Amino acid sequence: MKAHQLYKQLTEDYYSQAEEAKKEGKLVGWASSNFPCEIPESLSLCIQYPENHAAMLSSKKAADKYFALAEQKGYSNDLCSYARINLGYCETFDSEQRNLVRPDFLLCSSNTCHQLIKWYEILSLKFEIPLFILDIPYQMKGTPDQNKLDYVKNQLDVIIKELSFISHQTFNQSKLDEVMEICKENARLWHSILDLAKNKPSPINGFDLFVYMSAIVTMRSKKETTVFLKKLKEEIENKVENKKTTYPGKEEYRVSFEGICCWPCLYEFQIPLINNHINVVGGKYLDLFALTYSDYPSLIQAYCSIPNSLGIENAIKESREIVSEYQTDGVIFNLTRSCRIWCGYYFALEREIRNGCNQETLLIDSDQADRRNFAFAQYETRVEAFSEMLSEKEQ
Amino acid sequence: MITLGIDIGSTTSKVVILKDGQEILATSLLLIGTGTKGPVLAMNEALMKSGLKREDIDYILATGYGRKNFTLADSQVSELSCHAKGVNRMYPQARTIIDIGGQDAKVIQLSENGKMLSFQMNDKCAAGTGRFLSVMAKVLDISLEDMDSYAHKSKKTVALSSTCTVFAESEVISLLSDGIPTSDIVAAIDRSIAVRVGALALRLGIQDDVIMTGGVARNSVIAENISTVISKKVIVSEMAQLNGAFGAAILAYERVIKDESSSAL
Repeated sequence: MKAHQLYKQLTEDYYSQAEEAKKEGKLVGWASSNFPCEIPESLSLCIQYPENHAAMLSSKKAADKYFALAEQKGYSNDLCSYARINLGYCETFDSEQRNLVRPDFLLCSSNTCHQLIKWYEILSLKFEIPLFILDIPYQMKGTPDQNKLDYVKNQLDVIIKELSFISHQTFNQSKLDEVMEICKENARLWHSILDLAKNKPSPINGFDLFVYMSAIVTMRSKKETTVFLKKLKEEIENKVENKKTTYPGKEEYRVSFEGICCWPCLYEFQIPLINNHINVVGGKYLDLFALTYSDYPSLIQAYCSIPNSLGIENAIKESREIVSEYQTDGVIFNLTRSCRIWCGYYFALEREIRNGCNQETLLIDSDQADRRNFAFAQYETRVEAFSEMLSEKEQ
Repeated sequence: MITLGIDIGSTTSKVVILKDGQEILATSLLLIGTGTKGPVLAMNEALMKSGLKREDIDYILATGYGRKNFTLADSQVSELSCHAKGVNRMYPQARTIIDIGGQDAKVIQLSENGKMLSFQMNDKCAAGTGRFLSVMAKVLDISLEDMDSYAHKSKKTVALSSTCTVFAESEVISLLSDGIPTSDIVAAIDRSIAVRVGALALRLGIQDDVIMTGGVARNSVIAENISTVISKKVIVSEMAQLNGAFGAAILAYERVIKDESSSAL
């Protein structure tokens, strides 16, 4: 099977396994995307990810009715669009796309954002199910100290005990070690795939990576993901060898993409970029879910060091590294309006990159899932002006 | 060589015809924009004024939001590059452009040789654009052209706190109900635009000379208020509304010259 077929199968399995588990009377949980998946996996608990489901629904343009339902319930359209889709969806569970199963417990960590906690509290109250919150303190500067790491470890100890209790499973360290090995291998493979885009020209259209990254968000603890990622890596390596690419056109300009993609407008986003020979070759978000660690203490450190839970100094450092390693000509900053984390400091970050990295920059307005917050004409004009700047710079 | 630049905006169509990339032969400006007959009518008007025919034009370059739909054009360029080109020709010392059009506001940084270094635009909100002024003029039952003279007559400072067009409209209606003179309300509207666009400019960074272009530049009180907000002198371009079309005509000339040079090689 080719990589895209394996990916499709993986996605099918992700949904069907949860449905099967539910039928068999097993517990199924919902988790925030940056919760340590190694813990529920080591207890053989099936997990689904509402953020990813919301992104999927919006990418299929199947989210509008859930926005309406959420807004009818009284949720403001200033709230996270993932949350609005899911809160609306929870009124019906009736998507014509893939459906989530009703959760039996919730796992939420604060390293993604704090709105997620309120979202999960609402879910906990609505479904009358337990919510396990992993509080990961925001780190404005530097890396988390031992006190913070101990604080997080102690919480995980409690969560493991309580998850074992509600699921009647016995926690087994060797099983956790085994799961960690799978996650580490998947992260290593994903990083090596991202690294292939450092080739000039890149063998891959950056938007393909935005699609495939779903595997590392929802299934990074699965052996099947390893099979898919190995195949994807092999296919892209072949493209490098044969000087081919999935980018439809000639790559004249290489850019980094800062922020979440606008899932419902993935196609509309690509067209002006392709027309202007701009390829997205890297980005912080692409690398957000593939965590590098060696053992359990460093796993905790990795989950405490998600870019979302670190300050702007880290964001500047990581953006500079991407610009340098991927040899980009410019950086696109996507101001996803309903995600404060992914646009809050972008004006300052853009200024730093523009002034300090010899990069052309482009600020665009959209949203990660609400297509009502995206205007194509404005976007197209900005991309063309950006392209004209890149061209002038080249000359 | 004759080149024609056409700037098709959301509310207006502007045309400039140039001879040899230097001499302005004719201009036209019609108050109907993209999606209407405006662009063709504006072009025909400019041709008539110059005494030229369509076939006399060597190259047509379109810009503005309607640029993609103007089938008579040889090529298209974003209005940001055209504004940069037009301003650089008329004001070589310019380093910052503030352009307020019908549906967006832009701030552009220029290099010493007139290249666009960076830019920022308003977000989806219409506040701080010409559309905001149009809505307010309608609420006040005055013409857009008269707004400047009203603002000059203002005697008392009135606050307009809303930045959203819809909220500001409600606020203006409340001020009218309270018997606040139209002149004071217009002055408040002008200040609110200046604060919003000034913030955009300050965020990007401002260097002298600062040139203002676009239809809203005709409103001298707004230009003065922006100057106050950014603490810099703001020069209103003589070509304010025609600047985009002017830049397009220059770029058209440069493209022909470049093509001819390439052919010669």
